[in-house]
Amino acid sequence: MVKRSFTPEELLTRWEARREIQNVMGKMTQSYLMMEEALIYDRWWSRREDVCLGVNTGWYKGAEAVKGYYDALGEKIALASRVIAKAFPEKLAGKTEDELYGVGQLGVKPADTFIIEIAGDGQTAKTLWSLHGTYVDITPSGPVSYWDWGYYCADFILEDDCWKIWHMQYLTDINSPTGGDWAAEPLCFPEEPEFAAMKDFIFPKPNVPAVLRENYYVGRPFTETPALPEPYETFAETFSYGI
Amino acid sequence: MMNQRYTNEELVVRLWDKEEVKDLMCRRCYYKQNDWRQRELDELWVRGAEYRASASLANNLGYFVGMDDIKTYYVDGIAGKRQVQLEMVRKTIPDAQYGNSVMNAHTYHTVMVELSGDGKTARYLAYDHGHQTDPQPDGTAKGYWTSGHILADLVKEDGVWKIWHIKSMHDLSIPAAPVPGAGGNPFGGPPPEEAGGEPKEGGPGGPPPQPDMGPDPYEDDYGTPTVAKPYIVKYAWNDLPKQMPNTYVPNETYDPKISYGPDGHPDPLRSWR
Repeated sequence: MVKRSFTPEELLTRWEARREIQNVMGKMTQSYLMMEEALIYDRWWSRREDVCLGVNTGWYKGAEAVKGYYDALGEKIALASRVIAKAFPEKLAGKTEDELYGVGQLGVKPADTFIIEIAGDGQTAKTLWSLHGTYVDITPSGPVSYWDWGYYCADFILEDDCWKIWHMQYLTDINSPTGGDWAAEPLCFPEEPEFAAMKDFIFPKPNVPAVLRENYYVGRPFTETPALPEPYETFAETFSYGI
Repeated sequence: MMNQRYTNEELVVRLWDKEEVKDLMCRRCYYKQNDWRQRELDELWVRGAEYRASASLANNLGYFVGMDDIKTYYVDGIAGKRQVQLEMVRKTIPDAQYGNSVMNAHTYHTVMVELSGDGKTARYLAYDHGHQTDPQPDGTAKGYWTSGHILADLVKEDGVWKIWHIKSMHDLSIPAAPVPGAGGNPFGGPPPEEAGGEPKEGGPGGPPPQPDMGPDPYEDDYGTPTVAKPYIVKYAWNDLPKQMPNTYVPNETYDPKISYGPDGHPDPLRSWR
């Protein structure tokens, strides 16, 4: 589709929309840095029932499932914080649960190299971003740092004059421990008794299982990036990043 | 506050032009990851004959000039490399198809865009952090982190921004897995003037011993440029791109002397002294 022409006033509105969408993505990725994963759904997602979040292994479809995903991230941070506090009493004794929340954990998931296409009607936008991140997971073996490289692709929708995430895919090509080659067998570490409680945490699985993307392995077929946004007039005439 | 040079309408167009330039370069980044190289040349690069003749794509060895030379290097070169890789992979995975076990990614960040005063051309400067994974003859594969500058001149043709010159200045490839002997050797000892003699690798005042990192996979892909003007990483300070003019005093028109094509290649003797 050929991009249509806009007046300077329309271009300025569309420029503001691009900035606002960048801000929402920036705030969402900052939420990982601030250990505020549990707030991402309430703050940045649409209130629609047809929201969905795709990960390599499937879809969290519907508002309840998407909210449950972020709630689970928050619950895992809380559990890991308690485990770390117990493992390091000499450093952390006496601190409240709020003060301990997020201790020893890290989530850096920046988004850049973005393509943003705002619909001609200005009601939705399609976006693709590169993710080059790292995070520290508290595992039964203790803290393990991971590389986290891949893509965010998201449909945004204008709701009450605010841009909100409608559909998002958070897909990775590399999600493997740092210090090792992602093309080799991942590094394994022995379990540590003081971190055994992390084995009990069960993260909710996607309610629509599917293979959306595979992390790299030797023999993986050539895997293109997620589809690039193209100019469009209304959402009905383009593809969706959701299910 | 009124701008002395441009009307509000012109300023809005210039704002939007910067967004279009960033969008174009990000598209190029994804096209490259997908090996859509011919498509990139067809869709994202200049169309006019006067620009196609002087279009250039540079790597650390120099500049491929003109769309024919660019295609030979950038499109045909990667096709040949992928064929060699595929034959290698098929020794262990007989039904492997194009690009099996290959992966690469690039991210363009820390972006600067400057429009010329006349709004007809733009300069783009960013840094590219990425990774590359190549299959190996023994049936394994090896991953690297990659880093380098990405620079471009763009031109507005019939109202659409197109790539005219691109310069990829590769700084380093780092194996994803630790290399034996790397790290853990601190700088130390007395400064060389006290120790006597020149600083040596691993010696007093010198850098820590460097492990053998193996060949840089990027260097296999450099080819033979039309114009050999190298970017020598070891002496990178000689050859870093010239600083862009201040945003509020842009060049009025395109100036070959500061282009990212061969005409703008820094003179090392001039630029570092």
